[in-house]
Amino acid sequence: MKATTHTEVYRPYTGELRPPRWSFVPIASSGIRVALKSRWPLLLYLPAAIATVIFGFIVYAKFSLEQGMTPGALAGPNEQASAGVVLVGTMASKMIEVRDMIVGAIFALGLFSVLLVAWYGAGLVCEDRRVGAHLLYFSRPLSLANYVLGKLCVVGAFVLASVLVPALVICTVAISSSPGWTFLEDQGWILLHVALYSLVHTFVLASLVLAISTLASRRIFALIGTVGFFLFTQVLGMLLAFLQKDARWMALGPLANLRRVAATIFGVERVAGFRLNWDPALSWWALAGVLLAAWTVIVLRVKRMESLA
Amino acid sequence: MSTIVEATDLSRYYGPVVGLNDLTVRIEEGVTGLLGPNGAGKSTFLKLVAGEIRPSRGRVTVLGYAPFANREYFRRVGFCPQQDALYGEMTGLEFVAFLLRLSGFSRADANARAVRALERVGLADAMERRTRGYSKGMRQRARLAQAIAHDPRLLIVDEPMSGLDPLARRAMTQLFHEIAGGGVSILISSHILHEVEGLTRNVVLLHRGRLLAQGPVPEIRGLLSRHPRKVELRARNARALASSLLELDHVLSVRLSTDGGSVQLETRDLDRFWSELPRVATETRAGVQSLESTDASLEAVFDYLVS
Amino acid sequence: MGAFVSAAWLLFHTHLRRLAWSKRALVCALLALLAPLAAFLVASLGRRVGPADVAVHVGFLLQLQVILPVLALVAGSAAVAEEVEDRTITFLFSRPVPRPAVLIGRWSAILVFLLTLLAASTLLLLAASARAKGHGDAVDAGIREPLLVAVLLGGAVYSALFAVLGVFVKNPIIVGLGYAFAFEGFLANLPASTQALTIQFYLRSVVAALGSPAWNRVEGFASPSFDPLPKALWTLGLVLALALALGAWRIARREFVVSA
Repeated sequence: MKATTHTEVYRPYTGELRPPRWSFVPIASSGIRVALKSRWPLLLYLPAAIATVIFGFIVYAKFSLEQGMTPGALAGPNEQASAGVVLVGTMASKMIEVRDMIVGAIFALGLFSVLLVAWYGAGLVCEDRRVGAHLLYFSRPLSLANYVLGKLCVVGAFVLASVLVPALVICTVAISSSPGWTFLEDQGWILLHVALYSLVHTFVLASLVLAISTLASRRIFALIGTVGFFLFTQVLGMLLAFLQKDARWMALGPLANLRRVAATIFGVERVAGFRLNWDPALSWWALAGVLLAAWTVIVLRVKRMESLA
Repeated sequence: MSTIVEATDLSRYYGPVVGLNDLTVRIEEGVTGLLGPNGAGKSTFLKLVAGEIRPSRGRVTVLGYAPFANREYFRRVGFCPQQDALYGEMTGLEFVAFLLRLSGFSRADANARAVRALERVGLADAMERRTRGYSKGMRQRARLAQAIAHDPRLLIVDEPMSGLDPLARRAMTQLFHEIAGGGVSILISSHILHEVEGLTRNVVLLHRGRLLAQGPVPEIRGLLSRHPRKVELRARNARALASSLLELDHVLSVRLSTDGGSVQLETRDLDRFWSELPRVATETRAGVQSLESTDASLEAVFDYLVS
Repeated sequence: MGAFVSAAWLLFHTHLRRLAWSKRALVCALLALLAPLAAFLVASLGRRVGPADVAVHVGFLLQLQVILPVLALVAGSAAVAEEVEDRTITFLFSRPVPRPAVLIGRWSAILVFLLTLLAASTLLLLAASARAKGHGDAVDAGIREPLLVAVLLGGAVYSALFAVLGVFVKNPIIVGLGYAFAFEGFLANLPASTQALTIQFYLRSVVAALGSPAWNRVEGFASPSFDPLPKALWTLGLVLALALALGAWRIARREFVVSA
């Protein structure tokens, strides 16, 4: 018997396949959902919460003292607490500006931001490659840009939360405790600065961790690579700056650059315990260079994944 | 026959998830199939038997030992886990010999035993290759080789056929027959029923962490005789056949298919049904084309038990 | 005891061989090169700095405070956690070996590998520092020996801590990083007696006891309350022994396969 085929029942598709424009959204939302399933890593936000409470209280104390409240009244009847509160009150009367508090919180959380970005971002690309999930992603009408954007949103959401929320809480405390909303009227622009810096901070950290993730074979190596990269560049910058007596070397470290940029955006000249005596333009350029390198790596590596898929 | 596994009120919880619930079971020596769908508690039971985890409640003894972290016990059992894990940078021979040396064998003895075990599982040609390059079937056989190389009294095998092609499955079944022929008891889990049917008639049926049935398949089937059995017939005149079958006192229900070409019925007495069917078919000129008792296989037993 | 020693010995040399050719070893080797690279850069770039200054600054700020804990974490956390992650621990724990032998045997292999790497890295760092052409002291025994001793001691103690951490938690890397840089990094640099809660404090005590005055030029190094050498060594040894004992106790009891 002669074999037959029945192709006539099938009509070739003549329409136009249009990849969905926002296909990064499911990647981002599912990535965030998966990351949130594990509760313990949320402890990484604990330092941010503590810093928010401390700096928020200082802001509250500042406005209360400005309105005539005494440090003793601020402490309430608890004698043990009052010594600490008086100390904070005294600090608050010296640390005048809310923006100082925001920058102080950002500076204090520098290392925790790195741990956070490493935890949530290190495995995003390398684990896809290791378990072969990229084969599933790229067998769909998903563009490289959407894939990367989806991953960037996952890690970005967690990093953004760590910087934006503390800053906004401090601003909210300032707005609500300032007499007659004067903070909002006089210094409302700080909210814009908070938004701008949060975006810069998030974009830099998220881009770098994604680049490292594309290079690593396992999440653990990407995690170590991320922390190692930030620490090494930071310490190397400090070493060179100190030994060469030239603060510009600090610009070797993205973390130092982010601090310098934060100080510039908020218009802060001095932060206790940190050197800021180099040209902020150098930091902007250094960050731009790091970002360019990171995105070159991301695009090349993800393109390779795409072509292998 | 002596008892090799004895579990009493055995329960295992993983946080809020119940892996095994109040299981009391006694397994005799020989080959025993542990059956159940995914999530039935088979792997949990095997992990308890293999000493990987401890019971949350109740107790389990295997070969008279409490298994968890019991070195004396581990000398007497071989465990072939389900997970597809090997030391990728070792060759098959190095892998088996290393684990044998951990069992206390000398280097020479371990190498000799490893070679024998690898030959037995059909990996003689690949034993000098790194396991990283093994196919799925080869990896499965390497894991089995490490479990049998020290001549255990009991072999515990978790889902050994999973992911194997039909040829590899047949070879694996043959290997289990050989091992069992050597006097080794085997406890083997699977959710694919015909795999176990090819190996043994002794089964333990688990479902949702509980024991559903245990014993030789025919005995389990015998237990089912008290329950209605299902038969499906295709006939040219299915409608007439259906109405005549309804008159039989042991037939409980009859259902005609929507296309009118087949009849499904439930009977209380399958033997009587088989003896009376030729007469009814002749009287009604039904033109029976095919008949099938959907309860005839272990699958049906199992389906019935879990339905 | 015989079974413990023979199992630990077998695991030691098997793991050492596996480790030598693993990706983890490559990552460790790259990390170990960072401090010599930094020393080379500091010695070569821009303004002239003296060899001793390069060695003590890179040695303390980078090698002792950053590279040592990170390297110990990457290598040490693999002792048990790697077997758990790769799901090969089933093979080891279904053999008649005392469970603590798995921890001790594998950690010993890691220790040998790590100390070799740290010694090589420190010697390279010192060699790179000696290339500095600036004015100042040379790299002498008062810099070489304390740095080498502190780095090797630190490697042993940190790797034991992180190996044991892998027995307790599923993700030792992030917890270890938090410990090394958030907890230790914070406490060790506070000018208070809380410094004594950190490994870094005792390593600095060793350096201070054995080292030349050049070390005091490093910002953040000096402390008014360094422990004398015997006490520092005794404390480090105690931490090491306690960590391993705790790990051995835990590994003997813990279930490592807990998914349904």
